[in-house]
Amino acid sequence: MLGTIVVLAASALVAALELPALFRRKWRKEIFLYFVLLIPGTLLSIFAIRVSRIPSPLNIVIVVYKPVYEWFSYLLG
Amino acid sequence: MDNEKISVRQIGVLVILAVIGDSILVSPALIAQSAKQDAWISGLFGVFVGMLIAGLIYYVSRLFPNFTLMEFNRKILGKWAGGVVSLLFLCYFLMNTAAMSREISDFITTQMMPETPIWAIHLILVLLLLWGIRGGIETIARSAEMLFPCFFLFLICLLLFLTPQIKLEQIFPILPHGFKPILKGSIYTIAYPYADLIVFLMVLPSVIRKKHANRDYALAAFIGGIVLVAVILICTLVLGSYITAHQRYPTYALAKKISIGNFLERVEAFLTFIWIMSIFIKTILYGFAFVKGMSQLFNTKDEKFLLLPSGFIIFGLAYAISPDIVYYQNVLIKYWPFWDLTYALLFPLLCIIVYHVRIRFR
Repeated sequence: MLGTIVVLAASALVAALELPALFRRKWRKEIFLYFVLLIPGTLLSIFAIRVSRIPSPLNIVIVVYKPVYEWFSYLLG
Repeated sequence: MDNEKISVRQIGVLVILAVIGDSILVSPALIAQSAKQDAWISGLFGVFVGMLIAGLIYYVSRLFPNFTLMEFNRKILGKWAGGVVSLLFLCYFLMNTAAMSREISDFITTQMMPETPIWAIHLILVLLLLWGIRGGIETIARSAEMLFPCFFLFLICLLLFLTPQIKLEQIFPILPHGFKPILKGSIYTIAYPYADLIVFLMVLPSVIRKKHANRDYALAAFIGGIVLVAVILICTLVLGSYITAHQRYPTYALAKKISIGNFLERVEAFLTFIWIMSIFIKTILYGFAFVKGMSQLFNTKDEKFLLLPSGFIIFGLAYAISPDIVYYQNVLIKYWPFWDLTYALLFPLLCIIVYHVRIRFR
C-alpha cells in the first residue's frame, strides 16, 4: 500500500513539475504524448513496486516467433 | 539534444562496448548449449556473419547520412508505412532497454545482493539512465571513452590470469557432430552482439565524418566480436563445455576461478565492473534511441519532457518483462534472436529495396 502511494505521489510530482510549462505553451500534441507515457508507466510501476505479477509483454513476441523458431530448429535438428 | 557531434573514435568505443555488451556474460552459455566444445568455432562463424549485418546497418545509415532512423523511415516508406515501422522500432527499443535493465538486476540479485528487492536496483538504474540520456549522446560517448581504458585493462587481466588453468583437452574432439550444432549456436553471436547494433542508426548521423569512419566502425565491430570469441574460448578451456552450458553466468563462474599463488583471489568484482559498464552503455544507447525516436516520430518541439514519463515505463516494464528467470532465459534462447534479426536484417533490406526501386522509377 505504501509503495502504491509513493509511486502515485512521484508521478503526481513529476506531472506537477512539467505539465504547467506544456499547458502554458499550449503544446497539445506534447501534452497528449506525456499522458500516453505517464499513465501506463505509473500503472506498470505500481505493479512493479507491489511485486504483483502481470502477463509479460514478451508473450506477444513468443506468439509471433514460435513458428520461426520451430522451423529453425527443424532445419538444424 | 540536437546538433550534437561525436568523434569517430568515440563511436568506435561505443560500438565495441555495445558489441561486448551483455553478451560477455550470457552468450558463452547460450552457445555452448548447442555447440558444446566447438563454441568458439560457432563464435567465429557468428562474428563473420555478424560483420555482414553490421555492414548492412552501416550501408543503410549511409543512404541518408544526415537523417536518423525515424526520419528516413518517413522518407523512404512514406508517412503511414514509415510511421508504423518507426512505432515498431520504438517498441523494440523500449523492450530492449527494459530487458537489459532486468538483466543487470537479475544478475545483481542472484549473484551479489540476494536480499535487495529487485525494484530498488531498478530504481537506481533508471535514475542513472535518465540522467545519462538527459546529458545527450555527447556525454554518453565521452563517458564511454573515459571508462574504456579501464574496461580493457580489466578484461585483459581477466583473460591473462586464467591462462594457468587452461586445459587444452577441453576443446577436443573438434567437430564431433558436424556443422549443424555450430550453425545453431552461432545465431546467438549474430543476434545479440551484432543485430543489436541497429540502435546505431539513431547515433551514426551525429558522427563527424572523417576519412576513416567506415574502417574504424568495421574495426570496432570486429574487435568486439574477437573479444567475445576469446571469452567463449577461455570459458570452454577452463570450465569445460558442460559447466559452461549449465551456468547462467559462465563468465562470472570463470572469474571466481582466478587464483594466483593464494594471493590474487576473489576478483569476480572486476568482471562485474566490466560487464555492468558495457551493458549499461548499451542500455543507455537504447534508452536514448527510444526518447529521441519518440520525439522525432511525433515531431515534438522539445524532447526533455519525455524523459521522466519514459523512466516510469522503463521502471515498470523492467519488472513486468519476465515473471521469473526461467521464462526469460527461454525467450532469450528461443525467440529473441529472431526478433532481433527481424529488425536488423529484414527492415534494412526492405529499406534498401524500396530506396532503389524509388530511385529507378521516379
